[in-house]
Order: sequence, then structure tokens, then C-alpha cells
Amino acid sequence: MTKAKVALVLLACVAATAAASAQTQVFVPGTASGYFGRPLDLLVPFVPAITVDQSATITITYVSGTVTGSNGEAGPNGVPWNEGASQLPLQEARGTVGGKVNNLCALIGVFVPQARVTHKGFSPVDGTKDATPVGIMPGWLFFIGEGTTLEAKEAGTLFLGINDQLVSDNGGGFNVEVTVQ
Amino acid sequence: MANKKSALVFLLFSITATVAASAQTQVFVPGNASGCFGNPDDGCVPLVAAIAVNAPGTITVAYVDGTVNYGEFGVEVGPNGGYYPANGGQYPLQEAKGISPHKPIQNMAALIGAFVPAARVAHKGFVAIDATKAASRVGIMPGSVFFVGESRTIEVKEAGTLFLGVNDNGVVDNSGGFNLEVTVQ
Repeated sequence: MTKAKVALVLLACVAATAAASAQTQVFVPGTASGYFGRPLDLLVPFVPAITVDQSATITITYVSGTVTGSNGEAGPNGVPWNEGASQLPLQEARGTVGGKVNNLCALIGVFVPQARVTHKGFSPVDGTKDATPVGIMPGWLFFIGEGTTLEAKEAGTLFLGINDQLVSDNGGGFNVEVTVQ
Repeated sequence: MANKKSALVFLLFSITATVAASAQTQVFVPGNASGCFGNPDDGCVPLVAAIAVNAPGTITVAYVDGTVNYGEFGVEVGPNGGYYPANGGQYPLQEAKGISPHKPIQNMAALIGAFVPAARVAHKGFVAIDATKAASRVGIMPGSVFFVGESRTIEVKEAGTLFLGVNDNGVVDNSGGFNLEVTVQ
């Protein structure tokens, strides 16, 4: 029994070490807006990129790909656009609306604590739209662009998406490398 | 001259700060003031500005009297709200937590509040409604909404305004409201 416990602890340590240094490639489709912003036309959840089981440093790096839409083609930093009276996901994150932006279709992300991700009914979409029993708070979204490093202070999952709200006419996507240390 | 001006400005500022640091006011919160929070929302009535502070302080909200009818004939609720069966919607306090369980709630039409930093309140185009609805240029983040009920004391760490409202999303058929006393120390 004691040996089994020791083996269990050893296994947990190995898993934690693996999580503390990991790398993965993720494809983020151009439609993955996570139902953030307004008005909306399609519910496409964010993409889970990596899960950490403790505090860690997560680095996100753009590899290749573009997002295409009726407004042209965008890289991970997005493109200039006049949003008019609409609201993009990154604007919803700050509680503002409309006007000129320079990050339409940019790569965005959100880190969600493990307790929420594992909650029954959780889905990686906007938690303020009555679209899921448990969702993501808009204020947690952040710009990634070509790359960024995030200090996660607890266990949880990094989700990735696109800074656009009308996504039904979007195509393409971004290939992204995510590493944990 | 410059020194006298500085002294006058400092004196004025000190007096204002003192007044703000200890103040009391009475507020009426109508039963339809949901601030456009919740889903679906049928009426966008802004939250009520209760009190503004220009420095950190302690704000206490105390219920005085009044009830809200949330559209059910003969049903009146106090500031703690009442029972309401599951109806498939999302209430302001649920939106505040990013959840939408579609289960019965115990705080229908309860008194709620949100403290908004002065920089946001003073921002051009600010309206005291849900910032995630694209209904105003600048609004209030849902995560800042909290339950007040019969009374609540909050410690604010910066200048800003306390707004008050009602935990309901379908408010066009609401009536009544709450009279409250708000104090700052």
C-alpha cells in the first residue's frame, strides 16, 4: 500500500515535470471567435492550446497562415478596420465599442483557471451571452499577434481565437506553436 | 502668486476630499434599472448613479423601503430578491460570473451594484449599462456587478462611482423600486 502511494506520488511528479516543459502546435481557424463581440453570426468556440497543472510560463509563437474574409487577408497582428458601431472581441474585453481598430482578425487568447474549465457545462465561448452553462469572462481576453509570453499563476488552459465577430465568411487560420516552461 | 494659487487649489481639493470622504445620500432605484445586463434583455435602462467618491473610501448601502414587482401579478420582492423558476435566460448576477445554468434562482430582482472607476465614468460616451452589448461607446464590465441585498459595505481603492440596479433581464413589465441610503466614510 505504501509502495503504491509512493508510486502515485512519483507519477504525479513526472506528470508535473512534463507539464512544466512542453511544446505543441495548434491550428486556430479563422472562424474561432469564441462568440465574443457583437453582432454575432456564428458560434465557434476557442481552440484549447495547452493545459498546465501548475503555475508556468507559456510562450505563444505564430508560425504560418492567414485569415481570409470579405475584408481581405490578415496575419496574426490583424488589419486596420473601421468597426462602426459594432464590437470586436478585444473591444468587449475592455468594455468599449466601435471606431477604428488595427487588429481585425488578430490572434487572441485567454487563460482560463482549471476550476472553471473542469466545471460541468463549460465551453470556451463568451460567458456573458447565455450561450453556455459556464463560459469565459470577456475581460480575460488578450492580444497575442505574432507572439507573446504569459505568466500563468495557477493551473488552467490557454485558449486561442480570432479577433472578429462576424466570422461566417472567414477562411484560413493560424498555425501556432505553444511552449510551456 | 503661484504659491497662493497652489495653496488655494490644495485647500479646495482638501475640502472636496473631506466632503467626499464623509457623505450621505438617498437614492431611488426603479424596478426596471437592469443596466441592460442579462440575456435576453428587453429594456436598456441604465443603472442608477448612487454616489461618487474622489478617493479611496468605505461605501455602505442600506435598504430603506420599497418593493419590486418583476411582472408576476401580485408578487413583490424586497432587496434580497425572490424565487424564480428556470426560464432559459441569464440574469445580471449570472452574467457577472460568466455562467448561465438555467436553474431556479433565489435572487430575482434583488438589489445589485457596480463600482466603476472615475476614469471610465468620465470617458466620452460612457453610459451605465452592460459594456458587452455594444449599446454604448463605453460601459460597465459585467464582472464588476455584485449582489447588494438589504445592505452591503464595500471598500473602494480609488475614485469612482457606485451604480445600483436590479437583478432582472426582462424589465419592461417591472414596477416599483427600492429606496436606499448610501453613506461614504
